[in-house]
Amino acid sequence: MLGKLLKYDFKSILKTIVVFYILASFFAILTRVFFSIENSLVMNIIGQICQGAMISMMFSIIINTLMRSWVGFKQNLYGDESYLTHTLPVTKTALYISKVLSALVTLCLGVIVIVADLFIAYYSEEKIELIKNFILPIAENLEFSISFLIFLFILVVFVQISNIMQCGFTGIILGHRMNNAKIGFSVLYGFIVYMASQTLILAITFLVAVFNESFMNLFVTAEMVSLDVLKTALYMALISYAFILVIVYFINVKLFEKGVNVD
Amino acid sequence: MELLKCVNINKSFGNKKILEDINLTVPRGKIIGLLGQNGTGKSTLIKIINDLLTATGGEVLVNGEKIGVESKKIISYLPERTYLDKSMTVDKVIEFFTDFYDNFDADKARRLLADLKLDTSLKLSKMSKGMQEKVQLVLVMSRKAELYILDEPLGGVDPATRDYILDTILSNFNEGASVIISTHLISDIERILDEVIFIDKGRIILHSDCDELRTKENASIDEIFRRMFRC
Amino acid sequence: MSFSFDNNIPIYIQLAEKLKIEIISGKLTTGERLLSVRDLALNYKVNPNTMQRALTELEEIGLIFTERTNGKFVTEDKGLVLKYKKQYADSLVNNFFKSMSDIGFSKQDAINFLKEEE
Repeated sequence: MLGKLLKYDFKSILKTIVVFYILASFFAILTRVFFSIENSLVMNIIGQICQGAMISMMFSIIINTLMRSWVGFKQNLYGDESYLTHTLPVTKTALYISKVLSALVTLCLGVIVIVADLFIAYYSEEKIELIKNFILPIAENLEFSISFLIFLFILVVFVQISNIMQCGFTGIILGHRMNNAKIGFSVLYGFIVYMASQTLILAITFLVAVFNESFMNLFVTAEMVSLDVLKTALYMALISYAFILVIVYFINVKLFEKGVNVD
Repeated sequence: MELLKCVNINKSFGNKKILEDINLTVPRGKIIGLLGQNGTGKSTLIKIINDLLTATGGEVLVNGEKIGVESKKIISYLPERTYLDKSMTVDKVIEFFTDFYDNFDADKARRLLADLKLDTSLKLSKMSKGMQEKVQLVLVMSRKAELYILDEPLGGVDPATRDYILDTILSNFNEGASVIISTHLISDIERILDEVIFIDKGRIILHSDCDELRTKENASIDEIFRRMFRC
Repeated sequence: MSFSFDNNIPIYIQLAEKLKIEIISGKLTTGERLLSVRDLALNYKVNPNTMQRALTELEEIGLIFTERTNGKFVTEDKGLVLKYKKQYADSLVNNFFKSMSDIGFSKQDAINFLKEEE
């Protein structure tokens, strides 16, 4: 049944996002075309405009994925459609998982589209060389390959966004549990949960720093920290975000399973 | 085992009590009217049975089990509002029901929709509200359920539609199943009811066999109801 | 087909009455097989349980009988149908005389009146 839920949830969220994928890719191609025409100021200006449009579309992809996942969550689980959703023969946990997974997959897709569009817009051998030369010393110091480092970086951003998304779900669930379906409260609760999760992460990091002197420098000095610390920080960020994601997941499922009060 | 049993159901929103100590047993094979004026808790009770609201106290048992996946498999519920994703076509909605309900008879639904001369490739948003409600009724009655719960199916419809709705309910409910119909329009449906439940201010004040009640009071259910709730 | 019912009287009694008239009037002939309870209920737009109850009433007075596998049939006893027909006619006539007496006709006056009307 989860598969079927996913199918519909994924379709419904993707339907609204796909237009941004197309627009971002469209402007990426235009950016490439206009920038490739040399020695023309006009073409360069048009290129700049297209580049601006492309970047704003890229932000739209992420922001709209988040907004859509929240709006969908609210409509589907608390609005008119909830009368169907909650009477389907599936568990509340499955309903929740489907919402999270479909949003995460869409987020993934969005990241892939953004990366691909960046390639379309800017790819050239020199530029790749340039980036390589910039990243290589860092990567070498960390004993990572360049692609792994980039992947790791994207992953950190990804889990960060996922956390924001899930905290939004918590906000909606709490907003409705308090018997006031006002959106303001949902946003407030979501924000509080998000701040709490950030504070928790900070606390974890600080706790580690207490036992790790070089790590402590992150907090107490303004000097350039050693790359070794950066490595620890990267892993720390990943692990603590994963930890928070799981905690919030369980909180949400628990709250959700206690039952709902739809509008 | 009773098909549906409500034990001491209570529901309040904040300090406001909506339902108080609802005890109710619904056997198989009966058509039951849940009658009461607007805002007396009929819909609240129905929503609790369908897991849309969480009772403040008490429990609902369906075939002896708490509500959950199993109860949702055998209860076919028609809410008092339009609840389908309006960007879907009727074909898509049929596909959706087929995907999720093992007991959904898609052929039957298509047959009934053909009787309505409805183009199933049409999006719900392109239809009148009345048509959307008929589509919902058809979908709900096309499930081979054990319990049909219909919340205000006759609210605000013209007499012709009312006949259509009653006909559709009568001719399509699964044999041996029970039907609960909530309404405040009693005279329209009393002839098809086996039992009536009067609900007022969140309490059940009467639960009786229809014909026994008529014989005892020598009056129609509608009249008995009016006498009880004379404003 | 649609039938109006008087909501003050139990529906099954009214249904039994309607079916009885079908039988004694010959619309349903002796030995004829009845529709299934569900179909009958649909025809009269009533609840199948109510129809079942009406049929049980008729079965008790012998106007219909059940063959375990084949369903329900109108009785084959023509005498019985005739008896109920007469009984029904009796009650109609009695009602007529009663109504006539209410407006001041004696029995004989009423009979004479009927003859004139013919």
